[in-house]
Amino acid sequence: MPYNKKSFSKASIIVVLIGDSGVGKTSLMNQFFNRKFTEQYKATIGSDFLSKEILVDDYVVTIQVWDTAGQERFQSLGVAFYRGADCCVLCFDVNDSKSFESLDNWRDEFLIQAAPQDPENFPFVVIGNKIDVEESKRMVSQKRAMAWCQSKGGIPFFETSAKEATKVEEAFQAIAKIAVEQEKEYELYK
Amino acid sequence: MHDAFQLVPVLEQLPVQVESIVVTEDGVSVRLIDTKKSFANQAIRQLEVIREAGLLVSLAEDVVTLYSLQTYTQKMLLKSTKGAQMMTVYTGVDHVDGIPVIVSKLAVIVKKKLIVFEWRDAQFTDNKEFPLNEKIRSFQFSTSNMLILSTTKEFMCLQLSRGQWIDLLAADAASLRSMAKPQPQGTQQLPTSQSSGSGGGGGWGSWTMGLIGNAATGSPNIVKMPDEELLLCREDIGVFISSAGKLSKNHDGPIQFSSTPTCITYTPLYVITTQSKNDSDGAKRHNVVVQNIVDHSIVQELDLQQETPLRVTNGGNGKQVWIAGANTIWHLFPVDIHKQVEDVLQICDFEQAHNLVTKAENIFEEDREHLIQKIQWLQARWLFREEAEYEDALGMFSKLNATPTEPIALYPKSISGDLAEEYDNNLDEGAKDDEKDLSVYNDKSGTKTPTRPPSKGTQSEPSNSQKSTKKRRVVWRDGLLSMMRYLTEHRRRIQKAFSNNEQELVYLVRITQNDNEDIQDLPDVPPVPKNPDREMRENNFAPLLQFQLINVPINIVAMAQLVDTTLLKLYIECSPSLIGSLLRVKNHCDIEESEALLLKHKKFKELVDLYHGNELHRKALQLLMEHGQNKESVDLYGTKALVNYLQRLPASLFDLILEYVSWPLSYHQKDADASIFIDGHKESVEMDQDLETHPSTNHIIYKVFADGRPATLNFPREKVVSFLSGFSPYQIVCYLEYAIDEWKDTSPSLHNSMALALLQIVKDAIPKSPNKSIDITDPRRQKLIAFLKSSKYYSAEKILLNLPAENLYEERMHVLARLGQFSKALELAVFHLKKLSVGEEYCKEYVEKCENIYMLFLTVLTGDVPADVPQPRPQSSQASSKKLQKLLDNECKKRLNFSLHLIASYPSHFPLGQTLASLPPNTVLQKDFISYFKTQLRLQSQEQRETAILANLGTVERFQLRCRLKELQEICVVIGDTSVCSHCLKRIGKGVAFAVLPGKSQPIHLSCWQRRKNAEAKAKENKPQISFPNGGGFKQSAN
Repeated sequence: MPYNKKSFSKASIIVVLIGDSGVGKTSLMNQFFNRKFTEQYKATIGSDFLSKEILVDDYVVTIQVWDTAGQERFQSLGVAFYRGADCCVLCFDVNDSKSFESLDNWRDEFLIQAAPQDPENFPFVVIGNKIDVEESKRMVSQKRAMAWCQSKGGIPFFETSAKEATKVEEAFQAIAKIAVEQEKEYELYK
Repeated sequence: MHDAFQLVPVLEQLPVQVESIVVTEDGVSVRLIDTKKSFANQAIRQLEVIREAGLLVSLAEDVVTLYSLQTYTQKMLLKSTKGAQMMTVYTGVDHVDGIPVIVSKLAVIVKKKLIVFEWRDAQFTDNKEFPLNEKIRSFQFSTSNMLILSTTKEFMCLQLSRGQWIDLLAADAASLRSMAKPQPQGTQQLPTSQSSGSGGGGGWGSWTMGLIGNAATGSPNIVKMPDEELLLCREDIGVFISSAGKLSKNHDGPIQFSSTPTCITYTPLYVITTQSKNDSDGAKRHNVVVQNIVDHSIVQELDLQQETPLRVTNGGNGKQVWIAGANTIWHLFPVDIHKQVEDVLQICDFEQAHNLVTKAENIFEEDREHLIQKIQWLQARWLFREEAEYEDALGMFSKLNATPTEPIALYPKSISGDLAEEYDNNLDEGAKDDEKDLSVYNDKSGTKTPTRPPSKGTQSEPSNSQKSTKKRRVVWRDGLLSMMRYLTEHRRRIQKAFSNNEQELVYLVRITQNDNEDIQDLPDVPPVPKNPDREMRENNFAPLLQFQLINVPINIVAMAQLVDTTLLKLYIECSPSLIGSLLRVKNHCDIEESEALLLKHKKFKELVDLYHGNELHRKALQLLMEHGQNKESVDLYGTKALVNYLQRLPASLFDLILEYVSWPLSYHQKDADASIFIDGHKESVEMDQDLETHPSTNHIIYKVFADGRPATLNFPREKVVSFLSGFSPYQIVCYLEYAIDEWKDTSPSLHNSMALALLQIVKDAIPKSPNKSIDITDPRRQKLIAFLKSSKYYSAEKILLNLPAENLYEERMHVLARLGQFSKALELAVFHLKKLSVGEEYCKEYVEKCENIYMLFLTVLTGDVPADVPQPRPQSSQASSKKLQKLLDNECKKRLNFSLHLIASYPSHFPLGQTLASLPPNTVLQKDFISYFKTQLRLQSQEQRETAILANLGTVERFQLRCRLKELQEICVVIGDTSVCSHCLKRIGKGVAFAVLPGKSQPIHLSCWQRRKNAEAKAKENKPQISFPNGGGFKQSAN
């Protein structure tokens, strides 16, 4: 049966991935867009984006995901486009407590640079990556991460493994949905 | 209008009449032909210079003569030009066979033909003739290869190389007027004509429509213009064409003169004409009119009094303009560029100011740049103040690398603070005051800001009073948002500088002469260097440009503080939810100023963030305490905020945490939280209570002391316990559960504390009335017992001391087990607790720790009642004494029966001999005792058989070893003079350790063998028989 696709009014929805260096932002991107994973680490410089069409609630949506540099010295290039983002994905490594603790800072910096119209309701999504690593090395429990998300007004939380492609698709699907809803709401508001 | 030129008479009252004038490029002097009286006999009609060929060309007496430019002596009379009417010259670079050559051309109209002479690199090369059908009125070269000519009716062009004629357009004023304007919104109002509707760019074809032979007055005129353009004129209208003969796009349509000009020339910026008109008293007056070359607006009119200008000419491509009257020669002297710029800035024509500066001659490049910067600076200010184009204005400031203080100062005091400029009726107030007539704002512009010219009013927004307050407010919000973006960009720049360890950032700073306040507000700004020379010069002019822009290195910390604090103010104004974010990330907001602001706007939550960021924790906690107790407080009522704050403190501030956690902990003091005895209570404590204003005590303990963040792991746990002991044992248990279960703490003191706290809870639960105890199934007792059983680290002696004597025997029994005092524990079960089954369970539990525990139990059961057991008091009466005896006998019997039951149930734990010995002699053995004996006998015979097997196995093993030894002893190696090592093939000398590997007869050096062994795989199966000289079973040679 042919799917009756509707196209979404906005050309593409923009999603920004931010978080400490080495938490796997680029790997998440690669897994979602290319279904590939590599163990090699290469720091992202500046920012880069990939886009593809996906289906969200019968809408064909072009999702444009911006991968950013986690390392501070490469960051200067990668903040100008925060302003147009529809959704911001905060990434951390569940085996690295520090990467989780800096989520607060990432969120605040994002808000300052993006200066969205309604900062309190700007859609964030949290991804805890690298759940494939053995349980004993895990530093951030699901409980702790969820408590944090709860305290920030109920940010959706996903645990993924870019290496084993666990929940990556689901997370991005949800992100797209959230971004679309945000966009719709914004248009309604307009 | 402004003053572009000064009219300076250079030569006056000339004794002779000027007929012609020509100006050379270096033309500082005017070459007046009349001073050479013999130059020509008749009036010279026209003079031209071909500099490149060193020629002065004169047209007089209807013939063209060439003179030397140096000596003014005649060089050649061009005979072919007899009957010449007019001429024109051209010099340019042409490519001949790909090589650039300076080509000069002279074109002369002679009767009915056109003659073109050509010089290449100063050498005369060629002349060509073209026949003419009509009388030519005017002509000019447009390129070296093209002439534009006009007859009375038409403009056309002549391609010299091919001799091809092309009609351009009709040469009547109406046709020129109808010219489509390249930019329809041109400010110059042209009278509408028949084809004015044919918008944009129209080709030549469309204007030939206008070719209707109106009785043409005057004659068409072709004039050179800057940038290789030509102006085609008729009467009071002129059209610009490019050198290719196409309509030029660089101008706002055709140029309209106020009256038919007598002469026309140009400078790069202006079209200069001389015009004459009749004065009110009828006298004819002559004017020099200066018009903008782009929009044709009249810039200046200069009065020539009554002398008729004959010629206007310019030298050096518009660099100098000369006007020759009959007896006077004037020089149009350009007014100082600063003055001109000042004038156009006064009317806010920034574009023109920019043009003036870029095209200005006689100005140092450095000055030009500085002037352009200043113009842009003023334009940015003007865009902000007058046009409300905040984004563009700030963008310009950014581009100029202006210090952020400059745009900040444009904002009202609520944002700019001390930097605020004095400015009437600022926007902020305007936005707030609905009633106010906002038009006032635009009219009352400050002295520093130029006002808008009335002439351009049509373009500007309808600024006067039509704008509603609401709209104004929306626009103003844009202003705030623009500033927000501007400052965040700066923030980023500053952050980058910080990460590069830079100390200073260089900004462009405005310095006014009178006050340097603008930059003195900033600390660490070096003194402003003064340039008296420049100041002197600028002093002569109006105040607009009276400031300097210099690059000043500014301390980065000071700048960061300004930017962040201003950003904070903007957030307070228009985006309050970002305040927290700013204060939580690394920022340089001025503490005192921010504190005052946040207090003023009642942003207490954000104030807490400010305190936290600056490590003013006590202040923050005090604030949280106050607001936590204040029911009016919106965000901070309750203990939750305080607890959350405590969570953010490092372990080093442990004492402070204890000091402030007391209040939240004691809030729920009354209902001590028994939830710790419910299974899975931890999860519920940790998760659910996050939404309440007053979280439960246990939740607080979890969050502050035990949520697993690094600080909690570093807290001194004993101190936490001793602190919590001031509250209730429940809280100690709650905390220690994390320490012991989660973090696996094994320190005895914590385990003691845990046991004692649990014991305390149980003790408190024991009813006060005598002989009543608490049921063993009570969760509190269960938890205590479970802990006493599982923990290996508490001090049993200490717990024993704290256990009540006549209660909690089960607990005591488990503690005794820790001390190995099982008999004592079993006595408790038998004689104090009087629950023999408890003893049985106890034996089952500890049989692994104590193998003969069942025997111990049996001994207790069958032995005498220990002395410390309270005996029922013998009573006086005989009967009761008897009863008592019976009772005792009964108990004794019960114990005996239980003993037998034990023996029957656990036969293997009762060794036959001991068991029988400990049973009272008169014990009647029941039938089921047979199975006990059977089991015991079976056990014994089994043991016996096993022992026999072991003994036989031992014998066999010993035998085998002997055989093996014998075999090995039979191997014999003789070490002689010729014995060599099988590995290194060297002699095995005296006193050298060697080895013989099993199954091999060749000896090997021990060191060689070891080396080889190391080199080979580690797991080597064949172990060598190691021997030393004189050692073991090897026989050594006698030498």
